[in-house]
Amino acid sequence: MAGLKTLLISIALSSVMNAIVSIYYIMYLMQLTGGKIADTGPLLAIMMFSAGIFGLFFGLISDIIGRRPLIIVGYLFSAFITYRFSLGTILNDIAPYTVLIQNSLQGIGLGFLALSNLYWLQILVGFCSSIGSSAMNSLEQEVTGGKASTMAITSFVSQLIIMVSAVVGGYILDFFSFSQLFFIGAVTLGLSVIPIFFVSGGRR
Amino acid sequence: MNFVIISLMMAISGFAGYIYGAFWPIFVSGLSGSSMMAVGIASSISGGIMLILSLFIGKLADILGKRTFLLIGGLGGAYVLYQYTFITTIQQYYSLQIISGVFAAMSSVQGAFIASIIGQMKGIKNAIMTLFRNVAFAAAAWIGSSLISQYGFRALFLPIAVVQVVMLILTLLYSYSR
Repeated sequence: MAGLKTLLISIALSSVMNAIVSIYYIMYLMQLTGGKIADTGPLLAIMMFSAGIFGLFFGLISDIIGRRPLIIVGYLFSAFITYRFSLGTILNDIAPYTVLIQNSLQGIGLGFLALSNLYWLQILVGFCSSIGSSAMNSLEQEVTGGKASTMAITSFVSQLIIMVSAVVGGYILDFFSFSQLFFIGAVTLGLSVIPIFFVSGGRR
Repeated sequence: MNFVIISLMMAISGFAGYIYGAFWPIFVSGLSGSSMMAVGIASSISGGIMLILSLFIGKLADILGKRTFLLIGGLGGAYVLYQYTFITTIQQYYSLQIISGVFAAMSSVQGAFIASIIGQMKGIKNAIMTLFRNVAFAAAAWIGSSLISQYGFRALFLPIAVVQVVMLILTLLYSYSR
């Protein structure tokens, strides 16, 4: 239980990003697709699927190398991508890579897998979220010992921050834009890595 | 075996729930005249209730048993979901969110309940469970967006609630058989 307080600080900071993704990301996708719900579903689906597949791989890796390295790398990478979202240039940023992937797929006879930039963006988002998520869940269970009353404390902190972030996020979107919201998400997610260096308990 | 069956049950329940869960901000912004602040407040109302109750639920569940909380939370949550069919204003939605928060707090013992059946989900086991859930969520998002476009939100609340209740009962029955 020694690392619980330190872990709680990290959970609190990363919960800001959780609020943004779980509440407002669908509205961002609606904006990207011109307000068509039918187009947002496949985009969301491909992100989930990508997160699941890559998560399996990173879950395995976290058993081998430990939770901490994956959480640190995963959260920092996600923070960087979120920062690119805040600049509004993310689709242009990934364009050269998607062309490279499309050409490679065509080269090996899989040209039918060619997807638009929006889909590749969603695969990237799923990939980023998968790196540290299983490791973080495992670390949380290891530090709390899986006890319901102790896990309720982590859920309390996370929920408190999500609640506040939801209202503040709504205010930002009503009066500013997604750029500001993503910037705040990137900064808090980046900062949530610092306490992870000091968490005691859990594997490695 | 326990792990696979429980994962599948959770995935089916998650599939049903995420058909609405993925798109609820769109439903709420429709009720509130596109106010994002209303979306945030709606989320915070149930979150706030959950927050207050979670101070007691964890300890109570350790003493009284997690199954009772899961059953009441699941049935109540499904009933609230069904009630979304009839609301027309954001104020009505806020009211339902208060009740929803109470039941969601009761259902929050689910993680500890699953851990009590299949052991702690560390590393790869955790990732497999997440994969099951994410595949279910992916299918729900894909199919849900198409269903919502064709039939609207209101036609979907009852079927979603029914699937969730059935999967909850099956999960509880399975846990008794172990």
